[in-house]
Amino acid sequence: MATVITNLPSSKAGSVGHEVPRSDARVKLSGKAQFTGDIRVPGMLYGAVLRSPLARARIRSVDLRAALALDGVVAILTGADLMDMDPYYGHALKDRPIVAIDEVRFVGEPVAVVAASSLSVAENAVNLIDVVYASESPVTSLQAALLPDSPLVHTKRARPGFAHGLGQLPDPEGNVCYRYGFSKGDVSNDFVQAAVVVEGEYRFPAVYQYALETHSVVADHRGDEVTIWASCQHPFLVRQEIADLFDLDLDRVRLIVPFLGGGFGSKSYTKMEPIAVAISRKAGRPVRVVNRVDESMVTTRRHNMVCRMRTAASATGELIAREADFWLDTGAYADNGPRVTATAGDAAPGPYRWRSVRVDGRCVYTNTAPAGSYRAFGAIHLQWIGELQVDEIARRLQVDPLEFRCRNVLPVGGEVRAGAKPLDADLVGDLRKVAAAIDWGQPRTEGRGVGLSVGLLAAGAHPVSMATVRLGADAGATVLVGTTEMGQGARTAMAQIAAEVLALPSEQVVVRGTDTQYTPYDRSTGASRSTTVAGKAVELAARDVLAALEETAAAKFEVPLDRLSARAGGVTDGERWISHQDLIRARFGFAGGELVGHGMVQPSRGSGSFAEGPVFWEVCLAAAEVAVDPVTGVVRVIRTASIADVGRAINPQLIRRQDEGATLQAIGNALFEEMRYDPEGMLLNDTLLDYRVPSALDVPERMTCVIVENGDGPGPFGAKGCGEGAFAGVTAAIATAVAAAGVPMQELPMTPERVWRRIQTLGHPDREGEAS
Amino acid sequence: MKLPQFELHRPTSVDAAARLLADLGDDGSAFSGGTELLLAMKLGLIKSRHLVDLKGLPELHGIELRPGGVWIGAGVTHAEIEASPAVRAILAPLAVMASQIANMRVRAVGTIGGNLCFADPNSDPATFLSAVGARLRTWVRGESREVAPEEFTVGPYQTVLEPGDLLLGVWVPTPPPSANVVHLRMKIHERPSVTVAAMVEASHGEVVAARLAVGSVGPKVLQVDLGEELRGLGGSAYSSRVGALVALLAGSIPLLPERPESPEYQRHLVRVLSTRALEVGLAAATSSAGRPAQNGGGEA
Repeated sequence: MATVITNLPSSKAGSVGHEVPRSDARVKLSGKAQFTGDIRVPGMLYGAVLRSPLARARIRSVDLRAALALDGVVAILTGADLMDMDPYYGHALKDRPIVAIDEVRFVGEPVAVVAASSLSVAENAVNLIDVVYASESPVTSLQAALLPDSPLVHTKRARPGFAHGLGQLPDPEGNVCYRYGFSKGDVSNDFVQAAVVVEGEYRFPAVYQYALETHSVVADHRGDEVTIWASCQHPFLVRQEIADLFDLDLDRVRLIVPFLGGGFGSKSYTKMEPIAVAISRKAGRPVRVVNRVDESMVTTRRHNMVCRMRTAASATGELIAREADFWLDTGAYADNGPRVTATAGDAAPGPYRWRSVRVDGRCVYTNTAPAGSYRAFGAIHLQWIGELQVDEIARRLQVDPLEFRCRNVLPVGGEVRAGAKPLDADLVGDLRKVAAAIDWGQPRTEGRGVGLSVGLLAAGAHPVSMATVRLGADAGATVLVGTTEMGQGARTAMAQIAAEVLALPSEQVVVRGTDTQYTPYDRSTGASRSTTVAGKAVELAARDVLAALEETAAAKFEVPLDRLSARAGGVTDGERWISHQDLIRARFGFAGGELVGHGMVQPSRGSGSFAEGPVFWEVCLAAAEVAVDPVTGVVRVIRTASIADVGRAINPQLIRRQDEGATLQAIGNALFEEMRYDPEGMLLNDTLLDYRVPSALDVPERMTCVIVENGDGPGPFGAKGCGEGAFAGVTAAIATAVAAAGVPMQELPMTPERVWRRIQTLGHPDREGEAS
Repeated sequence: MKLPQFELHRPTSVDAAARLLADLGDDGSAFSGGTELLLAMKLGLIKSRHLVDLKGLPELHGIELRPGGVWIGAGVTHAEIEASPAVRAILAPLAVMASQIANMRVRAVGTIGGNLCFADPNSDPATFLSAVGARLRTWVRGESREVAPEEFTVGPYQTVLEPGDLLLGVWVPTPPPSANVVHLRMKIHERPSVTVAAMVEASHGEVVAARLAVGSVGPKVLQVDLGEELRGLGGSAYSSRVGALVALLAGSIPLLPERPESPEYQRHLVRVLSTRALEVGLAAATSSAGRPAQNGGGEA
């Protein structure tokens, strides 16, 4: 029988805002967590990929006889197997074949895939495949790709992909595959009128996202359906792309995503899934394809870039105009390059009150590995450059960089870009907080420099997410949401959101991995969107369940609905209380049944093209203190502070971990990470011996994450996302700090040798490279 | 990337191990910690079908204080050196150097002998041992011989050993009481880009003997005895002579090709680190004369 209690249970502190321990900590620390590479399916074969040794070549012939003769080899896929389909994919531009067809465009491009009874047989067979190439002169740098007579990486006009969403494709223009720009005001005139102008050319390196887990897929294609276990961040977008590519019904493509061993954008959109599905289709059996690290390093990377920027200010200390031209190297296939270009364009002006702005970004093909998403893309490319120029202007005007920024940044509601959402954050407040956290204005030791940076990142991607919450007869809840847990703590945060609404302990809420057959649609896990967009869907789904509980309680207590609220695992009218279990029992009349709630987030207006975003502007704001050794050029990051302007902190601990992780990645990107290619397009540093990633030894003495809660986000309880802003913010703050220590750098990473060389040049003012 | 199949042999005497390796020739590899060998085999760089495990040879184990120095068996791990009271008693910087090799997992199984025999040019131990005048004891065609660390390495991944020859251990002499050992390195990537070790012996602020070893930049360790050049010098005369000698050395030291850092910058680092090591060496030797004066290693 239902028990009604009149002695109300204490309203234990809610879930949201609390440092709830990660729900996945135990399984991960005990080694029990399942990743894609752990999955074994009955009858499964092992795949190995033959990759091109050349950056640009025609394929003359492929001889498979010796490989096929090897005991244990079941099937080998080559371009010749793809003649019965349109084998090109790419969510932005449909420019990439599943495996090379007639030509190769980068070192590492898949040419053939072997499926065999074991990995060693598959690898041996790969070595027995005889391919004859006719090598052509490759285009391996931006400079070469932009020459008027440069060979074209693609000779056919690109077709838009299924998730293009970036407006009209530009007319073909050499190797430029996408262009994004805008302008306002009279830039030329403002530069003529300006009292101070700073300009320069800047370089940003190609870097690898370096998730610990490499790209991993198990695909089982049989008849007119396919099941895929994959380490992917966006299962629903991969499902759509696979369905298009293999001409299958959407509901016949099933993506199952266990835990990811890190993503950072490297597993955004489609990566190794088409290859795995194609070889499984040919073999007629499930096939597992798991990249080695060196293979993942040519599967995706961050765009290297060249940028020319100039910034103008008045004599009275107002920023008035900025121009930015930049060229992003997207490698042999566009991947997410067009979106990266657009986001970089939006970040180029920086959050200031410009009279005039002109931005022109190009996404350029070269014969190198394709470049795609990586945490804070676009903002990280441009923010450090703009902020170095802001600092240089402040220096010449003899104004404190903090005060200079506070005077010039956009106010709340200011126009960031015409047609986009107005600024939804208090940047002056954030600047003052980060300055306090780094003891701004205090005297510093010789050789030290302190820098600030502020920027904005268009976040949230396309706001389409659904969620389902099921409340069982035992009052345990299950959340079905398509967010991928890749280390960020999404499952914990989602559980907290549902727990808060239903007044349950968060341990009583289970969140599992995505299975597209059962989990409702979610666009993607990236762009700092999950807590905000998918989290909102979870909140709405939980409220849907609560509404049903309250409906039953209203009948039981004979009170209107507005008198009821959730409390301590039940519902109360302020005087009486009844548990969720008892309400479910009362509703269904026996000890069974469940309540199912649905939540849906959709764009509030328009068709979802780029001009209508973003969901929110992610604040990229940080400070850093560095020590520069003038003799060796070694830069050490002593302290950092970052702002997590999150609206409402669902889990402060997870937010701090996000900013700490981003800070470490920023230190790598700013100081030492760089993919080096030889002139023939071969990646020279594809192991951890030569490609250095940040380690525990690079952790600054102090990292402060200042959480700002203004309740101004569109997500659950006023939340908005975080986790990417610190990457762009800290990278730029390290650059401005090194400049403050006396060494303005125009190229990342700021390796010891580059800093040392710059110091040599600065010692001889006549040799100084930077224009003024 | 899987380890290919191989046959594992476990001899129990130096003689048996040496005979086995001589018979196997290029088809066999000596195996101890495996931290370099197994990786190279996974990458297909070494294709030995037979591994001869040396861990069962008692002669290769143990650290022993003996009159005039310390004996370290070739099979002693870096972690054992790091923790050894005997090593710390006579040459603490050696323990510090060992504590900075690679990472804890490598130090736990990787051996000093394996490190020297693999002869990776970007490595600290050979440089350090060269500066302190260590001697390597080898087993060559049934005879025990002695060789200096800088002579042991012929070039990158190459030593004087032929198939069937073994490294038995390292003899590290106790430095003179008024000597100081300084080890400095700079790591830009995972392995050191420049390693410098200096031993300076002084009396009343003036140099009695000085030895400098520079590694990780060239195909093999370069060791120079600066005793004659620096003897009797101290103060600014010492500094200016060190400056000139180090500039000469940095300008002429052979460099490995195709490094991420330019030759100009590598030579600059050699000059900076060598100068620092020799300056600190003399200063510390002077300040602590009469005691076993030793200086720890460090990152530049």
